[in-house]
Amino acid sequence: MQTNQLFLIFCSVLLLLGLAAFYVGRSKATRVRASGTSMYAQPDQYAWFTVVATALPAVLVSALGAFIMLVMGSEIPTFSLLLVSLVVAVVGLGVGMMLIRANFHARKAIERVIVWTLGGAATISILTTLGILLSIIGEALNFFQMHSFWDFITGTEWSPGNSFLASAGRGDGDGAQFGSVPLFAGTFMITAIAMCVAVPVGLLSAIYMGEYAPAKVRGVAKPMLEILAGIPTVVYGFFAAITVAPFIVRVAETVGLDASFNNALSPGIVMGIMIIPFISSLSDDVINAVPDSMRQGSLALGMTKGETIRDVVIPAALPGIISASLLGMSRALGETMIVVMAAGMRPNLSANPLEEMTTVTVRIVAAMTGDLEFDSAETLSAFALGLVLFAVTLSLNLVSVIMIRRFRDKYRVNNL
Amino acid sequence: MSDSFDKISQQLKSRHRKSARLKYISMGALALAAAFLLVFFADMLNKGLPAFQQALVNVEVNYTEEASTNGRAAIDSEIMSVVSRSVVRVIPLDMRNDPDLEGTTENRWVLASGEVDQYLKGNRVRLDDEQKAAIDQLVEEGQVAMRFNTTFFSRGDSKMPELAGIMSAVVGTVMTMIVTLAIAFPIGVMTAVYLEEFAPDNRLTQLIEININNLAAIPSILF
Repeated sequence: MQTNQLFLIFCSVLLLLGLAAFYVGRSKATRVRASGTSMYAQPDQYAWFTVVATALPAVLVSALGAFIMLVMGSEIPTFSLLLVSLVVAVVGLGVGMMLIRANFHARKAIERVIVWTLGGAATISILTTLGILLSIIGEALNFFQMHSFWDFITGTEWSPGNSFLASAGRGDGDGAQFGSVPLFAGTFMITAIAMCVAVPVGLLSAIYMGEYAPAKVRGVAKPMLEILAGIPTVVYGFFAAITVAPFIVRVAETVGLDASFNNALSPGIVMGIMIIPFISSLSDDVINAVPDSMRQGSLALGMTKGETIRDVVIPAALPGIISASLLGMSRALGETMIVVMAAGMRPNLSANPLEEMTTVTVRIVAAMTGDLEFDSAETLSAFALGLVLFAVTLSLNLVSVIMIRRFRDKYRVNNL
Repeated sequence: MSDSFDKISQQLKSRHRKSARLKYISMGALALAAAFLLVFFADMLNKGLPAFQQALVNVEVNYTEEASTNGRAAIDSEIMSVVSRSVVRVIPLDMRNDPDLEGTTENRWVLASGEVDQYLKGNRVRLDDEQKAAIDQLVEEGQVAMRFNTTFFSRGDSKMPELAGIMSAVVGTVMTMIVTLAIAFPIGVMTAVYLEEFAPDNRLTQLIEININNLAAIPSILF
């Protein structure tokens, strides 16, 4: 029999069992109640409890079996696994029926199941992070067995050369160099340009919206800025590659400079535009959360409004503003589509933003989307790069989250 | 020694000026952001709108016997150069599906070739002046016209640019969205309910909260 059909049959049998459990459980509970004993819970709750007692262990057993098959690789025939699950379901039904007694808290039992389910959903996020981390680390270790970690971190030359031939059994991959410094230099250069655009514009917009703007303007401006965050990054990539880059080349020509069409400036600027709302939105919330008593105190001492903002509000909101900027920065570091479309492919260690340079994410994309063999050093280098990228963005995010928590605890605001 | 009243009011003036300056600068920042948005949309519309139009040619299709094997025979050779190859290919197929067509003629609007389309949209093309003049002539006679581009929405990828559309990509996107929603919505809501209503405020809960914030900020390429 096909596995699909087996699975369908399993599901329908389980459903029928659950249905039976519901009615049998309810009728028993009604009977006990009709005999005059007062019970802790309603008949329906006993009914639901029997359903849970029937279905949950069965589903858990089959899920566990599937997991063992997947991870350990051991062969458990699907048929017997599902059969065992059904037997467990029947046993569960029996146990559930036995438990229907006057002094049994069916309601509390259901509540516990719900809480555990919700808690399980909450831990999925942690499992996801762990899964990503483990898969990256595993492959990155493979890479570091071929090339030294130290060369990877400090090398200034990135030229995979013919390392892909080595894995195909031809040549020995000599001359391949994986020094990630030029890639990270490019990444940080583009990120720095983006931050130069995003921080001033975002922060000042937040100040205007939080301190000066009438409610009407604010009501229009805030959603408008958030549109910027909602535009797909691919579309930004178009904009950077087709409109901004040629424009920059033309401007550079009129000034007498020589700019590449893949210059670092255009993805940087466009990325900055993309990050503006991240910074302005969070900064605006933080500025609003600064207690009014501080403003009143400052104004009462005779400071002008501008001085109040500069010397009182901003310093108080500083942790939040820094945290917003760090979040924006980690966003810029990991941004992929804009740089894939607008930045160059050639690793280039240079301080001139008009030159072509590439970023970590571009190299990852290039290594993973080609038709290279998977265990070649070039493909695996993507995981090493990803690991470093993960470490950098993770630390930025952590610092940011901790700072915003400090701020929240200090001023006792709950909506951040 | 304290400053005189005059001196203080002088300072006051400059302090107020500074205060006003901050207001205008911050206003300017917001205006700059709005200008970015405007330029961006104008540019996208400007570059994207022509794709919704497509050049069509009015041709006389002769379903002769020869055309049932070679579609080129059905269309006047003079106008052939502006007609899309896709049209020519379909003619024998049509005739096989509907044998009654043979021997009839009909006037139809068919797809023009990609080069003609691009020329009419004012983009750079590989046509010489003579061909361009011929196209201009046809436009004047009303034989070539721009119409709404239905191909773009109803077809998938194609080797021929005039026949390419976004349908297959749209289907793929929608499928991905459905799967994403089916996973994200229940887990997200359940997590939120747990954290807000049930979770004790301990280390584990804080870890989960920080981790969720962090999950949103992990570069998408690592997923």
